[in-house]
Amino acid sequence: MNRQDAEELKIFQQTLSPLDGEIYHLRFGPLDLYIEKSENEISVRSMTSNDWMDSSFHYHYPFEGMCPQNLLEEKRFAFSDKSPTLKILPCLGELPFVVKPDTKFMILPGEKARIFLSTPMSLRIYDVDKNQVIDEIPVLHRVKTWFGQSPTAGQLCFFTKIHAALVEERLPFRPHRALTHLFIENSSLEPIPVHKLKIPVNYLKLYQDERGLFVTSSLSVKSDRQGELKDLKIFPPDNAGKLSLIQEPREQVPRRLFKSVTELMR
Amino acid sequence: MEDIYIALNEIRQDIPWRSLFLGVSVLFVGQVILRFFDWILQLFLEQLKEQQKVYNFRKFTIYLYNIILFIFFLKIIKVDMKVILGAAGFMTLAIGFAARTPISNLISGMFLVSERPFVVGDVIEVNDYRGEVISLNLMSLTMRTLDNLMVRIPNEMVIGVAVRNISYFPIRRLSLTYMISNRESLTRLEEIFMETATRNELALDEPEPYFSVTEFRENSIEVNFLVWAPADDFFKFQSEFPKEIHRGVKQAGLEHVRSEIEINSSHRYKKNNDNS
Repeated sequence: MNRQDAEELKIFQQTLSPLDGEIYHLRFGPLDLYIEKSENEISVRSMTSNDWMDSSFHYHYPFEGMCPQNLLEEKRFAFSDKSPTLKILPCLGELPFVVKPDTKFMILPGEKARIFLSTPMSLRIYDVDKNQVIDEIPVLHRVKTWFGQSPTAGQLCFFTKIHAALVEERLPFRPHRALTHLFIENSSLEPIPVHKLKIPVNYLKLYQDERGLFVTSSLSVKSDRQGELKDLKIFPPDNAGKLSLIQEPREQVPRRLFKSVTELMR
Repeated sequence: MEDIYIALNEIRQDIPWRSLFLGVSVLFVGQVILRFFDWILQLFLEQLKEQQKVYNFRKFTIYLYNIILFIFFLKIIKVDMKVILGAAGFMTLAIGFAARTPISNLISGMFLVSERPFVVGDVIEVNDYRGEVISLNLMSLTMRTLDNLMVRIPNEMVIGVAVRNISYFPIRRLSLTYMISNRESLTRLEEIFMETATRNELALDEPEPYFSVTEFRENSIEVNFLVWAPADDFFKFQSEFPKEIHRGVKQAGLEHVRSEIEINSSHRYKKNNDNS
């Protein structure tokens, strides 16, 4: 899928009322998802991989082929006689993501950089009538990493590589990844090397823009004269008024946000 | 027979029935009030995260309330408090001897609750027991061992020995020791370790895995590999990772590599044979 075809991602705004015997199939990046309705139950089958570069997106409803039985994960949900109305929506991860640029880069003294980065999402299946999340499936196998100064002080996070583009168009488009704008201002007298960044996605909102792209709340951070990063802020992305809110933050932003996301950059 | 009847009648007349009835009523109403306030208190306190502290606070408050209620009861039935206070010195001595262990447990429990070396849900090792903490109250620690047995350890014992809290930090390190023959490639073995750690989903890339040579021997080299994993998945990792290393070593055709487990068991085997 290309960025120009992102309009197709608006399919997520629609609801789904499968009848008995109907199958819904979605390919969202590396994730293959099948939802099959049968008498008084819904079965959710999924399969994913580690391929973070996969940019596939297509869906079939009703799916005419056979639902593969040998997929890794299968869950069944019992329902009463009434057929539920479902909605499938992306959501951000439950832990912060540590992102590592594929090439190292520096922010020069006195400069302000706007970095475009992306983090993998999960898919949530909602029961619209009851306004309840039935299931949540990560789009790809997430690898955990430790982010902290020592094994005793830090936090377990998910890990992903990023391109850290400075122009949005240079960021390879992956439909299953949400775009975050990070502003870094270097007020010190030395260049700041960006080796790793911790993106606190658990505190961010998720939106879908007019083009169909998924974007999160933006982040900004400023360094002091000694190069210490301070003043982390979370704020709505550009044109927030025109965006559709997809997900509220998983966790309330703590009062001392910077302390809770210390070492944003290493 | 008549004498007994007269004696019982005198006792009956001496008993302050009115005061006794009033005292018992006060005890009863006091207990009802206690239950009501305990219920209200629970509604407020169940929102708090630190349930162990809440539990201990509740217990302490209930004990204190009951003591006050009992003193009040004694006053109502007109028991001479001077006599009780007079006997207090002797009672203290007697109770001191009899309740030495419970009091020691109680004080140890207070230290454990305030120091918080572990909380309910942590996996710890105390003496020879390893398991999950089910409860920590003022008298004892209750654990569920990994083979699903309940163990109660008096606080007095816990405070006096080393406690290993296995789930205190979110990540843990696995240390693997191997012996490799001088004829085999040490570099290849290091590559296998590193590749396996990269492939394994639970092995953390940070803190970085670390490979080192710990000893050169006549015909072999002892190496050590350190790799980190999330504490929640550590038992799974500890079981899976050596198997993956073993597969990697076999696939690479390194025949003279032995793990610490193999070395220890072969020593045991040799020792047993020598003894027999």
